Amino acid sequence: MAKFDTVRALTRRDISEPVANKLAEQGFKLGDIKKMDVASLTSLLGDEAVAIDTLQKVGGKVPKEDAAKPKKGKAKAKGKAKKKGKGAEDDIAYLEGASDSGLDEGFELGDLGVEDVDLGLEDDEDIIKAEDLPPLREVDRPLTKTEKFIVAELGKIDGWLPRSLITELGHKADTLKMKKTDLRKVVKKSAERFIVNLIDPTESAGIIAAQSIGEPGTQMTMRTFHYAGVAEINVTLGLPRLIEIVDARREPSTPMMEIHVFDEIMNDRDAVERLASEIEMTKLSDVASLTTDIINMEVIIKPNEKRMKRRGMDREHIIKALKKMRRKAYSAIEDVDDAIHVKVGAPSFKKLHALMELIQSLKVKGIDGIRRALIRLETGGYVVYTEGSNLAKVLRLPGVDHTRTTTNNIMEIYEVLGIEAARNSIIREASRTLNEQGLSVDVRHIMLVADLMTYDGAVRAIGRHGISGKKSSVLARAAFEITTAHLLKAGVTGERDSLEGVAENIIVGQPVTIGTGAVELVYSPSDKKKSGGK
Amino acid sequence: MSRFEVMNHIHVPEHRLLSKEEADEVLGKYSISIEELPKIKRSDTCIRSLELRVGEISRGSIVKIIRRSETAGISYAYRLVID
Repeated sequence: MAKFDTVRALTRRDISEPVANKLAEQGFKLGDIKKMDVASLTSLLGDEAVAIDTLQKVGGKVPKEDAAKPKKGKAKAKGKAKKKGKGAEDDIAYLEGASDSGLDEGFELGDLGVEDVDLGLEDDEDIIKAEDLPPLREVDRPLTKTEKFIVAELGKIDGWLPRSLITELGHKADTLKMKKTDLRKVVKKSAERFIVNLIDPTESAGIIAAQSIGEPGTQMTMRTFHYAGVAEINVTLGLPRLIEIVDARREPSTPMMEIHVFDEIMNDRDAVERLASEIEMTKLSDVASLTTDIINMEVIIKPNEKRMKRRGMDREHIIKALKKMRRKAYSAIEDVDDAIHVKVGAPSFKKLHALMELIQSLKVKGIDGIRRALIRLETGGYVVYTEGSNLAKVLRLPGVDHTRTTTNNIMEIYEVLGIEAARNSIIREASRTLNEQGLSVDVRHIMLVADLMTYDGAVRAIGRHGISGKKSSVLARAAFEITTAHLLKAGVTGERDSLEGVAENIIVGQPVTIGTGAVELVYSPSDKKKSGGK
Repeated sequence: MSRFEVMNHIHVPEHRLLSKEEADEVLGKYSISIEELPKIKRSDTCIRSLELRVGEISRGSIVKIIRRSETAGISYAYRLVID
């Protein structure tokens, strides 16, 4: 049925039937085709012209000459989409004033003195030769001689130890200068003990994890207080933060980024400060003094040269930003010697006041969403902390170390770095939240929660909007939340409950499918001793 | 390292595409059917980055993920590629 829909969607966009059928046959949906590049589509369809044509009709990217336009549109769309959600109120003030902002305007290459050329932002979508790609770092550290010996011994006895234990054993053996025979015995014993210490199959690991996290949760405060260490930046802590993480909220209430810079400028305070001011959203009131002239019904803007210079901007920036204001708010902009006059047009105090407010909070420079950027000297160099988060844009700035820069906004990490990074993020954030409160929860429990949340390839909440809501058992969902709605719907549509899970079996009164109950014994009488039939 | 490369980020583990034989071996080793694996989307940034190096990754392939684990040092995970 899905294939038919795809074919229809394609033909509706003027793509020929045979092409549409071929694409649908392969199992591609409209979204997939949109994201393809010309090369892949050509290899599928056989004809490059057809491929380009199809891509255009589907709304995908066409390379080279037209590349600039759709990319910019995509970047804008991404930026706007992020406005939804909790941070929106903060952005409304400047939204009313300017229609576009973001990196495009105030940033010049070479400002930071770092030798870097590639600002080709979304170009991982272009066709790139494998040789041109940056090299990947190695994750697997090669084994030492002792470790190799241990692995070999394990192979002989058909045992297994995790890498961390192998490393620990190897290290200990080296320090004590053990003989091979002794080490062999130790390895054998270790492998045996390891199996004994493993958790039993069908043990209710989920419930144990839930209780292990929930119990310390009752000791956490609901209060949030200042982030100890980084002056001025407020970060949600404690229970509210844990709830945000587990509920997979799109945006945390206090998004924050930790921006690291490359070695070359890591210790250069000026360069890092300049980077911080490039990123930080600058309002007009930060770089100019504003006064209202009641007699002439205008707002007078006197740009402050020193402040403008510190942020690396000039009058042109101001004027460009002013021009983006709502047409109705002003009638004219006049650039006189040392000041810029913005006239209201109508003889209304209210309008003048509104215009003044607008201009004061007008965004002149910086990256969407970054409200403030502060620098802090840490061991190793200067680090920029920001209030507000925009990982996609910040990672691509020259000078920014895109391998170490991070954010506490898990959704952003998912979108920019992938599901595995999101999983790691969840673990880090949750662990940090608990540890800060002085509670130590074994990381395994949190790892289980993170694994569950990222099981489907996307980040799902634990509650009824996510994992718990997707359970196939009616009784389980009814027992969890919104009881009558689930039961009613199930009754009307004739749902069946196969009683496979824990909750439903408890309700019905059968043994639960955990632990002992997970095993079904089958008895097959042996007829060796008996003669004849059963 | 001037260009942004997602796989180089510290929070991102190594992703490797498995061949059909390797994939079947994994399924056999854990006695599972392919749908029981955790999933990863084709539009995932790491999959797209991997595709630039190894060519198109189709739905149904299995990706091996080599993670740094606090508890085990190194741990291997497998994800099924879906749309």
